[in-house]
Amino acid sequence: MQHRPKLVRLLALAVVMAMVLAACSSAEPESTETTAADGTDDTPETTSAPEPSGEKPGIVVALGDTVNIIEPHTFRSTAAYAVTDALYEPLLEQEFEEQADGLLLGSRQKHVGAAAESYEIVETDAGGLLATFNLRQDAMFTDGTPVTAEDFKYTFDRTILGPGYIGLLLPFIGIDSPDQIRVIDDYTLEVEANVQSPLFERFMTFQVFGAMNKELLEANATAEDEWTFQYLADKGAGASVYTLESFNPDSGVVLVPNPNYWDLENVANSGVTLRTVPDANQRALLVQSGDIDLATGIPPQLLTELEGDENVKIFSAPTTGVQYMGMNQNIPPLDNVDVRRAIMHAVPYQALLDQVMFGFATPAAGVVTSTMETHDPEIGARYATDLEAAAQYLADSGVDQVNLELFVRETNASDQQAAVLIQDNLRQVGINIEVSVLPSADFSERLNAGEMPLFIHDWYSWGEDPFYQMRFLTTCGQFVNYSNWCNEEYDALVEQGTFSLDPEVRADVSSQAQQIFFDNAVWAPLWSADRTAVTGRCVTGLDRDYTLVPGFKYMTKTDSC
Amino acid sequence: MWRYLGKRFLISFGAVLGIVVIVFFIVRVLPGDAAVVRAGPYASPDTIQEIRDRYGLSDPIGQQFVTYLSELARGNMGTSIRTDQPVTGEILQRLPASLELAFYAVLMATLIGLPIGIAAAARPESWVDRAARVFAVLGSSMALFWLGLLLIYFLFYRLRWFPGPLDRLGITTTPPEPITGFFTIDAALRGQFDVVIEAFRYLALPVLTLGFVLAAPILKMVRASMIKTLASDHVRTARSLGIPHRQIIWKDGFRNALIPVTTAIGIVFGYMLGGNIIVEFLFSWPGVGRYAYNAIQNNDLEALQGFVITVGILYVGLNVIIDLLYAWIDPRIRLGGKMAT
Repeated sequence: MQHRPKLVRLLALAVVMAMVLAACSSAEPESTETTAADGTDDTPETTSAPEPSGEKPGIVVALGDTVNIIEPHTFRSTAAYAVTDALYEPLLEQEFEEQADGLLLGSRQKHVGAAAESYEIVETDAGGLLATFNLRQDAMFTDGTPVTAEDFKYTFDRTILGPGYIGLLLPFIGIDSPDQIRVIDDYTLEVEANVQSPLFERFMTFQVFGAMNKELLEANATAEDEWTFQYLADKGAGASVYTLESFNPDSGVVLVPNPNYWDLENVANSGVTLRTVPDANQRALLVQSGDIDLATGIPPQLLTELEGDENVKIFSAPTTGVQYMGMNQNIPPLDNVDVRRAIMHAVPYQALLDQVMFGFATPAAGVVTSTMETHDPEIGARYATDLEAAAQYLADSGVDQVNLELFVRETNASDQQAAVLIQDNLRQVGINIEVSVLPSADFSERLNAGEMPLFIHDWYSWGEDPFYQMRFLTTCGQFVNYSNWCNEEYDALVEQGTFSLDPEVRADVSSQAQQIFFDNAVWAPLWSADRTAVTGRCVTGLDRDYTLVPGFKYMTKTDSC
Repeated sequence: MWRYLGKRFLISFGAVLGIVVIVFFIVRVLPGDAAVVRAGPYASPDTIQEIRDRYGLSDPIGQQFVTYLSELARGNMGTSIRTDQPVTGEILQRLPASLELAFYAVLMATLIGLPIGIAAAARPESWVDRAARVFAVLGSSMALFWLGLLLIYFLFYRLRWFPGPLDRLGITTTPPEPITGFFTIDAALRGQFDVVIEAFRYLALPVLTLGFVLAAPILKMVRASMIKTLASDHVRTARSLGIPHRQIIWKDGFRNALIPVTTAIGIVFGYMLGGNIIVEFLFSWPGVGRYAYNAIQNNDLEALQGFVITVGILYVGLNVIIDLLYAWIDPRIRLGGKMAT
């Protein structure tokens, strides 16, 4: 018994010494070789960052959510989209133009070959489009297998016939059959659309149409998993800039340059490590301290605090996304257009831009946002706060008392802040709002079930096409038309604009549609959030394309700048 | 003793079965449709139904339960609708991170709470006792996230004494080949002492955060239990016989106070078993706490079930271990006498 207290003391001393030693130690152990984790291997075993190749630095990125699934035709988290963007190279890409702040912004007008060395798009006699893509003969998958037209054919077939969501998008460019995708020879692919849509060329830049290794996937297909959706949940099968070194959903992902990539010499880094750091404040601290090179998803208020820090750079570029408050016309009194107009004019638009988004947003000003092509600024300007007009509309509605519930997501702090400001303003005109904050799953279910009278939601259209946006969000019967609004004249205009290549026709038709949308007070369009990112001071090469997913190919950093 | 243990195991098995049944039905009344979340914004009715069919969510509840039980008997806790991965594998992958954090946090809490509690009890109403009580109040009322934020800001960002909240090891460090899943132990067993030190450095801030807060209940229990024991007849007798104070404290006081202290430490450890969501969130710790949080947000039923059942099994196992400790501490239990309460 006499020895036991001594033993306890010795043990305590040992632990304290270990902690002190740990605190004083600054040595970083050397990394060792890691095992590959592409489609040819099973679950990866290691998660260390890549060894620098030559003098190129490795890049560390902190993302706010986890990389849940990296199957490219499944809806997944934002972080997962960043990974698949790095793994799958499409036929085309946007030409990047360097902005004053160093951001590489993808052009809406100019596309260049990516996996395709050259291409041609012509109008067909049947009123459609025919694209011929000549593939690069030096493009290879990570295992050295050449990328051929058969691989792209397989990819497109998979989107049309497989269980993913991409098949829902293809009608926008007039593709609904595998017969429209044709292999001419090993390196020549034809894609024929049966309509003429400006989105056709833009779609060819999307990562979801990036080449997939047909031979590998067919070898791993099973009766239960015919299209290898489950097989690819944690593996890559692409031929893009990077290959998957390791994948740990809660820790992170390590990407290393594809050794067989056709443009390897222009890859500006030796690899990318993506880490999940759920708390935005910690992401900001880590980029300030230099432990990470890029952080996304920093809230606007925190961005304003970072603005004075010389150690970081803040990139902020307008997007065409829209944050809106929807009004469900299936729930009275929101079926009354004057009630909706009252609500629309009572929303404090400028206050939302100033006090919720802290200037990191532009006015949405309609379903076609102020940053989107064919936006009509005259109509957009009418989405203004006017409490007198709001009160008048409410009086004209004949509805005595308006009590409504406004639903927002628990995971979106900006929406919650906006809800409070909206609630206050609506109260001033006699509309009582109760704000309900719901977890994501509950919010999604109730939104889909049409149970929410008022809700704040957001949308971003890949390809940034106004008619795509209008069609998905606001035409009759669309499953994401949560406001349950239906106007046949509007639908006809949207249909016309969707399949017109004439800019003047599109502008005119879009303007008419926007007017109808405003007259019917379908939404209160709140803001169009900028896409923001924070990098270390000496980090360059951040790019932004149609998908708003950060690309890493050109990212690099220097020790001093 | 063996009859006692056998009875404990039977009760434990029944408890686990009860947990499985209750959890299965409770998670299904949670609001939110997992299929809708998985389908995303392009959630057509057909897509949602296809997802429901794929994950068996359209089957009658009874059939789902039978299927789940039969799979669980084979160690299969289903497939996560969020990641499309087997839940069993995902939990086993994350559990060591949470257990390692829990182990060191409880160890630190015990190393803080135990000696301070004993010292306070040995010198009632002294400055030591008063300081201990202040510490206990501070620890009990301290918000975990606030303490964690302070530690990160000052010890990482300002002073750079410890690394940032970026996982269990540095970006360029390869984790040791797993044996226990504890990086500190596995690296030591593999002779990678630099990795041991690095693992401790990354553990330091979350362990400090948890240890400080968890020390409070341990300290209070130790102090209260010791005071009661030191006021007992047998201790008074020992004093009157001139037995040294130190011996009375350790042999007569502490040993007899160990049962409730063991209970307190067990409760604290049990609380930690499910992972601490706040700390794991703050420190980007890849444990089961964050896994459970993501499962709740996405109404990932299988993941949620798997998490609760795993924690339940661990908790039941922990209680069995505590019962064994009781038997070691209290000879009356070991010899089949009156059970300690």
